[in-house]
Amino acid sequence: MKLTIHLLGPARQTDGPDQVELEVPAGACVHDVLPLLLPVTESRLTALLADRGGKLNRSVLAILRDQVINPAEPDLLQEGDDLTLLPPMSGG
Amino acid sequence: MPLTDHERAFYEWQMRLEEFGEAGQLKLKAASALVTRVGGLGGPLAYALTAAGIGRLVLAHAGNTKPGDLNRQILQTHDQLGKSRVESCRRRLLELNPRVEIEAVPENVSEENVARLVGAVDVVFDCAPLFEERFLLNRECVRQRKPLIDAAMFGMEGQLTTILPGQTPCLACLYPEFPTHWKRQFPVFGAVSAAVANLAAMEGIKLIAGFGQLLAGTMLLYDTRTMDFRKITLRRDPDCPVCGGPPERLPS
Repeated sequence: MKLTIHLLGPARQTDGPDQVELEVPAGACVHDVLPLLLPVTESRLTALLADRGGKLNRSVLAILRDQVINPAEPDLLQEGDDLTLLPPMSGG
Repeated sequence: MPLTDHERAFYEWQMRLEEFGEAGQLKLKAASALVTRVGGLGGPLAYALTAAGIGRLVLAHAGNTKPGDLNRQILQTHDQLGKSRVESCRRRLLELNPRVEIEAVPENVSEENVARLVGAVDVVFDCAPLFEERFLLNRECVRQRKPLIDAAMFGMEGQLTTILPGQTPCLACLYPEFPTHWKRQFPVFGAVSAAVANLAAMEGIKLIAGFGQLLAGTMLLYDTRTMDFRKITLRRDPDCPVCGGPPERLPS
């Protein structure tokens, strides 16, 4: 299925697009998306988005249909979905 | 205590809002708030609360005004460079509205002062540029059951949520691990931080006066590149070490 990944806040790419289209297996969860996303984005995003095990960092919000979702939950992502990844920001 | 004729004259334009009115103005006058810190976000926020006539404002921010502050910290002026930032803020705010009691604390939030600062007010506005301070405020607000309005920005984006302890996710539910990527230096236009500041001020005014709909359990995200505004629903972590467990699980 095709997904569009939107990269916001500190994850916004400086030399690349703010959104990336990916083909991911049906039933994939957000954690499964990461190994497909990171090779096609700036290298600095690996440390920002992924933990040491390659899963989504626990403090990055995964947003689907205007809801923060559990990145480990399968079958939430559907064909044509827009998934947003938002790392913490603290600018004041 | 009713409003004086003098106060009615100053606040009449906002009291025309029927859902706010004189009753709302009185609640605002009786309320107190902590703003930490008072830079590009907290400064305009404090300005909006002062203009609106909050009763007492506690400002917490250490250090002196630097040249690099002046693109966004609108309570600072060139003649105050090298002088206490928070005192400069206090002076400017009193020039705007001398009816507001302003307490200037030349300290950033720390383990040593957070209980005292939070305990001294009704509502807390979190505008700190460091997560160490944000997590301290979150923990203490949960402990003292004080509402925490959390505002943040990065570059051309901003975000805002209202944390009501016991009712909504807290900051540690959203960010269970310390964001090691975050650096003290971040890109900022003054207009972007002031935008989230003014939205946060309205969130506080609604909370205090009891009208409108709060960003409780939701977060407002905006991007001034595209002028997209959206609200997202947040998730509470039932195992959150700050708000999800018994008091003995609170981190030190």
